[in-house]
Amino acid sequence: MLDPRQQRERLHLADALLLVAHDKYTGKPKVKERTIAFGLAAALLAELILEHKRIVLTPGPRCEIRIVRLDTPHDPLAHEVLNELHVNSTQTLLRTWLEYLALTAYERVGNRMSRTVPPVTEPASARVGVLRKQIRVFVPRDAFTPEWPLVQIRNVVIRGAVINEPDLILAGLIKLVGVEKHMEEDWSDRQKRYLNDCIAHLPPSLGSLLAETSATIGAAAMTQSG
Amino acid sequence: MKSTPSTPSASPIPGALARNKLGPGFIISFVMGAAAPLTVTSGVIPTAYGTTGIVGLALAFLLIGALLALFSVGYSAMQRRITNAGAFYAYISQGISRMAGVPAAWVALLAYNLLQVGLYGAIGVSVAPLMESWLGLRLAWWAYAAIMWAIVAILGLRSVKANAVILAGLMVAEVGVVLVYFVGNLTHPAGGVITFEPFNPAALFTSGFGAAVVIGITGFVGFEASAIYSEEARDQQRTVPRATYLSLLIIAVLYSLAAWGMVVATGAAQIAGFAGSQQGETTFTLAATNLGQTAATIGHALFASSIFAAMISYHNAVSRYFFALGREGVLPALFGTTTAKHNAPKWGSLIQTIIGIAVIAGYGVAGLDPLVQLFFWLGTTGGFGVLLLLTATSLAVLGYRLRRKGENVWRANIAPTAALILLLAMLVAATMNFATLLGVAPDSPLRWIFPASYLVPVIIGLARAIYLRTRRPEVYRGVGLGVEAETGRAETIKERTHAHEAPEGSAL
Repeated sequence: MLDPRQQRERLHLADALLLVAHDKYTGKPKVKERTIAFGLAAALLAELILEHKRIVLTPGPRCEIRIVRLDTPHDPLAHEVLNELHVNSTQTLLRTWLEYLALTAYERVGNRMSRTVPPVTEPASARVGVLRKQIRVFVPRDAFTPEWPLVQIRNVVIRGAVINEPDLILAGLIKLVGVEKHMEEDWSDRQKRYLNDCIAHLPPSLGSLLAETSATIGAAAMTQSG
Repeated sequence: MKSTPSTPSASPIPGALARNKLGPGFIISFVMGAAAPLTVTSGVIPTAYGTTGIVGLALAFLLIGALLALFSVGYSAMQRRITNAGAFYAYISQGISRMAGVPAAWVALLAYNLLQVGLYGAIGVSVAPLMESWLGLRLAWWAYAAIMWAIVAILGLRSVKANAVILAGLMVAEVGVVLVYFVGNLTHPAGGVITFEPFNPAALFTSGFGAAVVIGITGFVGFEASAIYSEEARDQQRTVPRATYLSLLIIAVLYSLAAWGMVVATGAAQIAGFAGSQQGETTFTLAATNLGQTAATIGHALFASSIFAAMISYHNAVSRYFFALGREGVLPALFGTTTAKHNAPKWGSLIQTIIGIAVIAGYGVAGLDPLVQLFFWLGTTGGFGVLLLLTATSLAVLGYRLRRKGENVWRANIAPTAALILLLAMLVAATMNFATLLGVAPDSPLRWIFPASYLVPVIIGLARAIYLRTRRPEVYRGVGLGVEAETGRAETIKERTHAHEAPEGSAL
């Protein structure tokens, strides 16, 4: 078994968000699946921006994606997404990509975690809701792994230390998706405000990623399609 | 550098996303569902005959339909260029000014809330006789209204939308009932002669003309909701306008026939007295006489389900209005939150629920009439608010200067100007004839209190707009953008920081 630090380091941003947004024992979603999907789509793009440095965003409304490097990222899923961005380069609007990637993000991120050696999650099926709808879930192999991303964020916020950009984006997405309860457990108002201030002071293009994700989730609530 | 081995080609993305998109059929059934045909033909029209005594309603529906089609020319042209579709105040913010947009948002909140709570009166009145004949249960209208209120409250928080297929099925059944009732009325004319008096302009352009206008507008409320789907529509340029015009045509013809049929069956001179005594039972009494008791019972049950569907869709519309306003900062941020489990607007739904029970309790305690004083008075006052918003929006369409944005002179200038002049005239007539609309004496203070109630949201909205402009300019910039306000604010931040973060590399 990997030690906790290794476990934490091999989680990508989207992996961490998927784990936090689902029950750590059953893998069932804590909130509406489509909301999580938008968050995961944003996380996949954030990986390409921060981890692989292959794309940038133009800040502001009608935020667009620009590819800056095309060499293959080491992560196969990042490679796949970059390839899609390149092949469909006529589509540059961030909003369009959030909606498009959201269609498959859950499956793709879940599968990525199930294919690592040793796997982080195991695919299974579960029944949810009043109608007992059958869905595919990714059950964590151990219940500690989903805790690590939160522990990391909690540590820096409680110390009032500088939070790095990937953690800020993750914290921002956790809040947008609406699964921040566990993360912010026993925080004082000052600590909550500190995190919000840090998120608000992200560079404009990363701020745009969160703002567009928020608007996409909001729009889904407006049209009742989400 | 290892290169990704693929080249740009035709994109599968629009196709993949389009699978979730909507065609005109869905949008029409949505709009018609919100307009709730039976609620209008069995609830609004008979009460309107009974209260106002205006025989020319059939003509009024046709004329209002035509006017709204004229209004929609500029409205749908503007809608294609605006991100936050579906709300009049958004158009007013962008076409006139944010200072006008914020009060408009508050006016809309009052208007749609009035329309929603009015339905509690109608549902109480429609369910009570059904329960009595089926189960022998005799409860007051407010008891049924409270039960329905509780169901709507729960469904609202769970973001339960009435299933599109069920809604469409109910809608088709309702339209069928309206048409069958119409044929029944037409084949059993009073005195053996089919009267065309309801289409006689003299029967409409009487002293109560303004009242007929408000009733007509109230019947059409919901048509503007098609714009909400502009971003979800399969073909943004054509689907929504087509759905809007088709819905207007169907609604206008259907209501006109229903209104005409009632006069044919009772007689132009008798309709006011008959509808006044029969109230909500008017259409069903006629159906029972002309077509038999079964036809009346089927209609009755569908009437209740129609009101119920309208209650859910209005509740959702109102709670989403609160939500959009909370997201952009016109209302406290609390209203911009959703329930995590269902992504339903949380406080928007709760506050609507609270308003609903307060009104039911108030009317119950005061012993007021649920059909005339709750459903009809509040509903038509809501319709009057929508008339205010329509007028301001047609001014906004002109202010948006569509001509400079490549629209032709008909869409950019002629149609919106004509619509504005006509709507202004309607507004004046409606305000003058409010006593007729409410069915009160011309010197009753109520005739001024009801229309003047819109001054309250206007004043609150103006105060809020001034506060936002001076104290929170970044929020003020986002007014009218709804859930998109945050991306609008990102622009403000960018301007402030002068785009200090340049792209780290050159685009390929």
